Amino acid sequence: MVLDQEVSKPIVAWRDVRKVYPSGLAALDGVTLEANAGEVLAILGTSGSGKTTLLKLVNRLFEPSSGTIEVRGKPTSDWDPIALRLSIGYVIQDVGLMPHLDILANVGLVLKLLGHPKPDREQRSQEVLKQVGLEPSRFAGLRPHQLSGGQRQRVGVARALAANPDLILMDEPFGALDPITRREIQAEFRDLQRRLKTTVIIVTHDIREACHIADRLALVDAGKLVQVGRAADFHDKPASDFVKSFFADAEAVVLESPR
Amino acid sequence: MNEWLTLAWSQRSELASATLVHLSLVLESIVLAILIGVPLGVLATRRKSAERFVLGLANIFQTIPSLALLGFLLILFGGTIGKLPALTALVVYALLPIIKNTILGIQGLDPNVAEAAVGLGMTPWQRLTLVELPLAVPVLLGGIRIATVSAVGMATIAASIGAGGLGTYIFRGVSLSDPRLILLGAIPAAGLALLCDSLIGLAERRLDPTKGSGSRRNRWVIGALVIALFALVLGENLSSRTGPGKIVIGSKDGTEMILIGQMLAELVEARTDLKVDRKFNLGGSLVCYNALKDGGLDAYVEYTGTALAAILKEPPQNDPKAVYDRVKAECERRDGVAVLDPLGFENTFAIVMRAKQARDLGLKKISDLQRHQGRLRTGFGPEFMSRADGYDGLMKAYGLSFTERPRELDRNLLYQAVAQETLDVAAGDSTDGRIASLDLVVLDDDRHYFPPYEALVFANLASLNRHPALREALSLLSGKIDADKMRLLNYEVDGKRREPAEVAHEFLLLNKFLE
Ligand SMILES: Nc1ncnc2c1ncn2[C@@H]1O[C@H](COP(=O)(O)OP(=O)(O)OP(=O)(O)O)[C@@H](O)[C@H]1O
Ligand SMILES: [Mg+2]
Repeated sequence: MVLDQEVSKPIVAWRDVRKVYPSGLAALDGVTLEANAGEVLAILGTSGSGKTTLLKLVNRLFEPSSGTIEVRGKPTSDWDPIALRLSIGYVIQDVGLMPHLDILANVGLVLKLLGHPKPDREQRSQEVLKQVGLEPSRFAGLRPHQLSGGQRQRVGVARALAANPDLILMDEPFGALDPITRREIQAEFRDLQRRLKTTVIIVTHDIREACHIADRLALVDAGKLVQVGRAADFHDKPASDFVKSFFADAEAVVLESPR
Repeated sequence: MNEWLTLAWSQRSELASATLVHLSLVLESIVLAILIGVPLGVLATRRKSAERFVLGLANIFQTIPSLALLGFLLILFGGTIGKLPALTALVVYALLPIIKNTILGIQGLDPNVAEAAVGLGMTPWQRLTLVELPLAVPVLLGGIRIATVSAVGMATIAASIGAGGLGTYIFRGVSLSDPRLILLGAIPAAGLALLCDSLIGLAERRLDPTKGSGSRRNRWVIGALVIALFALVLGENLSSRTGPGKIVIGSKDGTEMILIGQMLAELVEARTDLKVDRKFNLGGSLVCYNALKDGGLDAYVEYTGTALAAILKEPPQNDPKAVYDRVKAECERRDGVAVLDPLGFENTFAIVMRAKQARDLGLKKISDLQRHQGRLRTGFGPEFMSRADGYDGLMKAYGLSFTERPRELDRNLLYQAVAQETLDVAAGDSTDGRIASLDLVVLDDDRHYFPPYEALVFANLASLNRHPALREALSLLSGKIDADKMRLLNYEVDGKRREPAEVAHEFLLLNKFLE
């Protein structure tokens, strides 16, 4: 399905989005941003800048205070929330695996919600487990508490991939990994994404990660979009001193980045 | 100890069926409480206002004293005795822990898991059934365990309204002042409570859904156990179904009423082809009378004076014949209750003291008490304290006013209390065997204050008309038991600790009512 989409057409578009929490805090203050079909868009920013909020508006875990968010050309308010969420892969910041289901069932959960028969689910789940580097024969029957933090994060990614969605939202998916494993899984994920041509919106505050796997970066600060573009643009034409300082320690990475 | 084991062994089949009735009462109430409590708990987690309402209501229910609740339910169910009000009361008490733990279990859900459930696209119903409830199971089981253990204890009280179970032994033991009988009910009840506690505790640990492998086998084992329990309960229910030819003979709390109840039951069994269900140790006149009116009971022993005051709520009268005629006419006309001919003895209130103290103080008549009212400690049952022909009337008739407030306690405990010198003066029943066995004396009612209390059989008129042989059997004892005989029979049970059924059977044989 991804292949049918025109690359130029945005699959997600935030249009002048404001999000004010009941506490009165404006977590997002007029953000306009697009994610194009087939690309990896990284959302960067310091802690508390509004990254997670931006993501949760896409699958209607939050509703905007003003502005609209369009998914596949249709405003989220016109989507049935259940259908919308089922069509989007979601990797949450703290994984959130179901502790009472084994790994295979966790990965197959969305397929189950979509009504796929059990044998299909199990076969597909084993496939994606392999794709994220977990050997099904070893992991399928285990419970989440029997896995390491990094293994759990891989399961979280597998769960989001299982239904083969054209859009995946990832909120700091590799936070619990050591730098080496992190680089490894980032590379594997990037390969996988290229093959599948899935649109990925990935939230991170790790600039290196963003440069490694994203086609474009979006930097938010205190609820405002500061700059959008390719990694090199941030280096060549930083929009402000904040951008400069944010990227200062990533100089080397940006230069060695594949794009 | 040995003697107690012999008693327990001789009662084994009755004890086993009482345990089964008890268990099925508990299980049924817990299942009902789960069916009601879990949805209420779920509702409470959906709306804050619902939580306040549901928890508030369950909390209030929990604080109602059990006897008050049973009494209230009896009125609510129009006097139906037996299972329905007992089950309702047990359900009411079991609700709070189940609702509370349902809420706790659901609210204790890891917020990340909750977010994942929503974010992956689950509907509210899928979230509840696939995530929230399965993960709440261990906490919910904790609530069920608390509810079950307390229901086992609470169910003993159900015997007072004829629902049977192990409480039957406890009430019988209390009314006969027989600790062996009390233990016969209490020990299996305690065992049952411990068993439920450990079994559900085991399930709690084994059914933790987050603990991986092997849980499938555990589920099978526990599932099989649950099915076995329900088969047991179903069997109990089917076997205790009251068929069309079944007659229910009841009795209030008290040796002689149970003795005569046993005799009536045996006579009906011997002289008719009807089956008899015995529901003894029921709470009091109103419980029995309402059940009789309602058809839940077919016969029990009542006294004319009690009927006049407690049932007809009329002022006391002194002419026995006038009282009898009045009660017979009113009960039949108003409530369809047949009043059979008097049995031949009267059981009036009797003011009793220790024989030795009465001798020492030179007390023979109630009016003699005036000289000592500053020093004597008195005690009366709740019925005596509240009746028009009870305490207040007595004080007025004899111009008495005791310095110390009378103690109010169960009238079955009064004799012991006097014998053990906790009390000096108490109101008992004139035919009570314990008066002789505990070396007490009855003070003479020299001003004829107490109205007549002739013992007789009350029966459901419709049942008598349906079964003419029943009327005949229930009338056999009329005029055949005088006060002396009654006191002796009572003493056999109260003093010699014999089984009422055995004493009743012996009496019927000796007096040629049975071959
Ligand atoms: N449900 C909420 N209610 C009120 N305030 C919230 C809520 N969620 C987030 N916020 C606030 O909104 C701001 C943005 O939060 P958000 O979670 O989007 O940050 P973030 O960029 O994802 O941060 P981090 O990198 O630490 O995850 C923060 O100041 C946060 O305290
Ligand atoms: Mg965040």
